[in-house]
Amino acid sequence: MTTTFDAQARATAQPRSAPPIIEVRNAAKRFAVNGQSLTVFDGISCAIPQGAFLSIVGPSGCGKSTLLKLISGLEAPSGGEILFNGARVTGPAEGMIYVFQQYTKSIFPWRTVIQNIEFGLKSHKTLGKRERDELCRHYVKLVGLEGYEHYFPYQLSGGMQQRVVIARALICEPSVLLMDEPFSAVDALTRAILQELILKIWQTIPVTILFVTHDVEEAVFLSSRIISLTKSPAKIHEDVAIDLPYPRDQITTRADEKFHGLRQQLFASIFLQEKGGAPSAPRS
Amino acid sequence: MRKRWPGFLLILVLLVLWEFASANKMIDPITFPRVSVIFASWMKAVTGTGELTRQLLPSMGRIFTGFGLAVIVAVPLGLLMGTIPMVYRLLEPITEFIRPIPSSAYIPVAILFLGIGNEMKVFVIFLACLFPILLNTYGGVRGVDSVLIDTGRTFGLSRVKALWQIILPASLPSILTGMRISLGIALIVAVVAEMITGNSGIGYFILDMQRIFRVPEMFAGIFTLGLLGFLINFIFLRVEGHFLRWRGTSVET
Repeated sequence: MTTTFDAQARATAQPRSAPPIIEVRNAAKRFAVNGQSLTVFDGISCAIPQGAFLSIVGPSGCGKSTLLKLISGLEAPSGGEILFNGARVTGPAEGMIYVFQQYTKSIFPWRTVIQNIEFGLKSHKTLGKRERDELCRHYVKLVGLEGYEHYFPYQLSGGMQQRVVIARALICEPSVLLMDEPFSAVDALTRAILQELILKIWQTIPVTILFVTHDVEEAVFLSSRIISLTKSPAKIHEDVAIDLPYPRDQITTRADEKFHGLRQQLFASIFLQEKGGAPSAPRS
Repeated sequence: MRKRWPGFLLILVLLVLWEFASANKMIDPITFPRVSVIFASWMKAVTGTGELTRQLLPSMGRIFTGFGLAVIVAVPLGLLMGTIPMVYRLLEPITEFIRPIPSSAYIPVAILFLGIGNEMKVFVIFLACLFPILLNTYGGVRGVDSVLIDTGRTFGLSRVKALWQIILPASLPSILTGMRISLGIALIVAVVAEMITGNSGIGYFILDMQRIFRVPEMFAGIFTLGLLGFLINFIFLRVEGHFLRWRGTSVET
């Protein structure tokens, strides 16, 4: 493919000193539960370089999704700050799109496939009708939904609905895509196909992806870097660069010994925490 | 439609039984004239003299004016109540207090303020239609999933645009249910109001025929009401099915 630039260089050779596209500084999140304050995390800091495919993994309930919500601006931190392109995030920022875990609830059921995708273009008023149609068709093709343009969501499978949601996010050309366990609700085979699709997209389009998942194997397969969190109140437990070569595919990458080593290492650390053996604070 | 023939057959059987019982004086043929007689006077009142058709138009005019005004007021108000907590807290108690009062109870009050003319009837129908639409609208809005609203936010939709592009279509099924309930109520209230006062409308016609003892015409009026209600509901379900075709469940008509 001629359009594919060197994702390998972008992912692994990226110097850590390059200006980060996202910076989390001392972020804290507390919720009031039954009159008591529950700390999800306090004092998380990390910098995400432009072009990264970064996954956040950790035991269930550790606050992975909450961290992603804070970065997106959909929720405000209780302390600390988030910087996006150097500017403080105070609300949903232009250039960042959040892809929800519950795609069935995020898709617009009253819009057809093409209308759902076109929704992502709404703010681009300068485009003419013809340009809009062309762009929509391009993204329909990118996620492999040709022939289904005029279907309503209820007529699609879960995997196809997730493709619509991804195309809708991509069409507004975000510099950051925030994905919250996007493939957790589809069957294993569909998931494998969608994983390859998102990798292909990441290698074709200059987009930074933050990917939350509880599936370590998925994280290793996709990411250029993985951050693992401890149990709540969460801290960054590990920050691992995944130096598996891109382009990756389900067959050869998963057969790689290095893949297994990384998977095993991360899985062990998370599993032991979930069991309660590793450093963690008691949950109230 | 094809699966519904047993129901229509039952109606036919009952009408035949009525005809038979009345003809053989098993029921009083004066209070229950034969169906064929009722049908003959219905035909005459509709196509011949046209006295029934003449009364149908003012009734329908009132129903659709009152209903239309209720939609215009209740849908925006419900959207505001559903989206702005302050508006909800302000209007919810008064809504809950007025709602249980049967709308026919307003007729005497409405007569005091608006007289016995058309305005009064339209007003009472309007009021009766208002609450089911209002309740279903704000109920629908409050039921919109937060993920859908956050989806709008992440795409940078303004609050006004989100109201129009997300909240309104998402609560449309609920709004349409409210409208359908209201249409049924509108018919009832219109007939009651016309029976209490006035000199036109299908309600007036039924009562008038009873008073001058033209019993077949009275029944013709009642059957017309049944037919009218059926038709309104049928058309509404078709409209609803069109607007909610994205739900995939075909609305049975």
